[in-house]
Amino acid sequence: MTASQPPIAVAPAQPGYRPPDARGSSEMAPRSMWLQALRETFARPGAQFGRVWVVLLAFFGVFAPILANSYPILVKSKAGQVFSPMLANLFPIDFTLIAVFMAALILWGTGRFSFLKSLLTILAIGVVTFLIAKAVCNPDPTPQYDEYRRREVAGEFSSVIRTIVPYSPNDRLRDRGDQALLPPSRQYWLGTTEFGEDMLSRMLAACRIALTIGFISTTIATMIGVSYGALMGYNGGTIDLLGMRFIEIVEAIPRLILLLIVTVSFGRSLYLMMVVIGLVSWTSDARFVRAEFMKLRKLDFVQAAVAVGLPRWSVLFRHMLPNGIAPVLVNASFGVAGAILLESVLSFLGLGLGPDDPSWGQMLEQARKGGRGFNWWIAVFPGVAIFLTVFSYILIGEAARDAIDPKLKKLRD
Amino acid sequence: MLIYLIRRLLLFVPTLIGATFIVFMIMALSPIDIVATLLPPGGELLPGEKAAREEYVMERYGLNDPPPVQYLRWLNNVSPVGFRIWKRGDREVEAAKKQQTEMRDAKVVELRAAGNMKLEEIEKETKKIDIRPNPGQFRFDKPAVKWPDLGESFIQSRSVAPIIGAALPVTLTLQLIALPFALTLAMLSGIWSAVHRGRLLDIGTGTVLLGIYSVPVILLGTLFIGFLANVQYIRIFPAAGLHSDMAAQMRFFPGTHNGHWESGYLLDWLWHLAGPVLCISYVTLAYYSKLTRTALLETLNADFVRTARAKGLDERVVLFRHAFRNSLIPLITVAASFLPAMVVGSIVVETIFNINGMGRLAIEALKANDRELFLSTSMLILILQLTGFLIADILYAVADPRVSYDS
Repeated sequence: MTASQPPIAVAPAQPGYRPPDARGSSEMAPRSMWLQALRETFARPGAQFGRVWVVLLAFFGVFAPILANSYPILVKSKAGQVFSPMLANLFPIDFTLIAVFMAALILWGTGRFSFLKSLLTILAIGVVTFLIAKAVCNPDPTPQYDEYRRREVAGEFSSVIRTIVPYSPNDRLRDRGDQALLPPSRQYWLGTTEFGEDMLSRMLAACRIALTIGFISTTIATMIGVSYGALMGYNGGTIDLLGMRFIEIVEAIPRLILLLIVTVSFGRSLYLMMVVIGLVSWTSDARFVRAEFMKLRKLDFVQAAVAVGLPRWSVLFRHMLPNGIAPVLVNASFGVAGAILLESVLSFLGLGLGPDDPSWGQMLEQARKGGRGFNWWIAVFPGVAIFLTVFSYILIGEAARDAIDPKLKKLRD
Repeated sequence: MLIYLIRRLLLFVPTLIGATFIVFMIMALSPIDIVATLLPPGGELLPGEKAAREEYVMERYGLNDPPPVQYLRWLNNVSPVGFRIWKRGDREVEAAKKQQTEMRDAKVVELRAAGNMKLEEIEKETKKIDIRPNPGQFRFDKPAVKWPDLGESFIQSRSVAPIIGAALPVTLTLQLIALPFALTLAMLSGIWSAVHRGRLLDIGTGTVLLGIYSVPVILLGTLFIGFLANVQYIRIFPAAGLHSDMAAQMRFFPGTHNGHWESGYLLDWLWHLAGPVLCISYVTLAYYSKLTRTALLETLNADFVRTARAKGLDERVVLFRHAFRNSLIPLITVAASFLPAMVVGSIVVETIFNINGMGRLAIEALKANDRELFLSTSMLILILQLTGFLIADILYAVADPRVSYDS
């Protein structure tokens, strides 16, 4: 420190630190309750760990085909032509996910825009990208994964740039002879499966499936649960009575059993599974929202909103919902964990996704059935991935619950 | 409270009916062709043979009725209160059949004598003679209380009841060993960490328990089988089933027999149970331990505990006689609702360890499109689940006089 500088304690430049605003008040800028809760949630080491892992998963899931692909990123042929087989073989959904991820990173990362506006922008970007990509993309429906390896060996290219993991998740490495069930090595970082596919590549692809199933099914469950619970809690009386009986009936059927019946009856499909997990998981949300709305509907501000003559949906969703949604948001974090677990159990039982859709549960099933003996790398890596993901969401959920309900937290400590 | 309990009991049956209805309708509306499952695959030797067979199967299992009717028939069969059904071999049915045959024969003779009708017309005319009761019809002459008829398994071609009778005890034994084991351990560790709250060990235990809670059963089971029951690594535990092949010839207790050591039936059985019980109980253990800690902390902060301490009572007396007893209320009620969750969990565990219990039975039946068998197993799981909820509710009302239900 030079002598010319005044000896004032300068606040250290922490990440996220904001200097006092221009009005000169030393107090922190006013924040909404939600922002406060979010900050408190992620101030905890457990939740921080959870967030890091989930962001990492999202990154792997979004960029899976760019991180692991049998098609090289860039190829320079002997004639001097440069082209990218990888880009030519990406699916529209890949472009969409990447666009959405980048947009979310920019809009929410900077924190300049309001949540709702950003959400709508991101959705719009997603839809537009999907439509454009759908028109432009033309991936090979029956991919020849070994095509470029063969041509490289044949000496057709002067230089080839490959992805970090140069194998697609369903690439059975037919050109290399028997590569089945190799333990982790320098060539195959996490080993290979019984069909000779690279485990790491499959793990990356499975991240995407796990996260999509978690998010989409939880979104569906939350939407159903909130609307159902809101109607029951606000109306009360007969609607409430009948509604609760229906919830009891649905809750009486174990979710796993219900899911098993539907997947066995209507076939295996990723999208069906997302929807069905959502359709069977909404009851707890409905109960929470119902309880909150029963309390809220007697309060003055709701009575006032009704007296002013606002339409029903406005009273329900603009006035009451923001005050009663906290437990639902906490529940959503546990819901994602539950959905991922359900999917893995279903695939493990051999009734979920088929071998073409790599998922962690399906890899564990392969490990259990075993080709030649027990191959630990097929069990341990996906199993630990499920564990870490579920653990992360539970940690985030617990932290969020404590942040939203300080009274509970005091009890627990 | 009595009114509450009665209402709760009365709701049990409609809930069960509603839940089985949902299960039945999903299965009935699915595009799966049960007739194709029931008939042997392949073509037909005689023209029209296959169609006739299909018709017979549809008729026999009542598959040509609309699904709600099929459901009602199934419900009537499995319910202990409902209509009895006339069966082939009942005296009245046989008598009616005999009479019908005689009358039809007489009619044929009569119509032939008249002479002006075609053969098909005569047949049509005689079919009109229908002496009841026919097999399959409701009978009203006997009281409506009967044994439930669970139907016949499509695949195994035998009655569902004995199949379930063999599987249910296996699952229940597993649960009844795993549940007390998990709860006792959980209470001990919960009390321990509540007493040492805030210290490093308590925080460490809390994190570890949360971690254990997140370990998927499918991972633990696979690793257990893969590493501890595998000649490739260490083979100290058996990999499948609940008994060794030689278990039937074993003596019950361990001991030396003919000069060499024999582990005996009991030990052999316990050895097989180790893996499944561990896999069933660990999630419950982690969850319940955290719950015990919370409940105990709540009472430890209460005034009456401070009073007890101020009286100079021994800390152990304060802990167990004053605090722990009062924190038992939430623990008891939650414990009752664990049973159904564990039954569902046993679906996975039984599949991993190849144990022929209810869970595995349900999965196998579902995979084979065995509708009757699956409906019965899932109904039993539903009953277990609802009973668990019911017991939890009743215990809650009984254990805590502050809870009021009559509002």
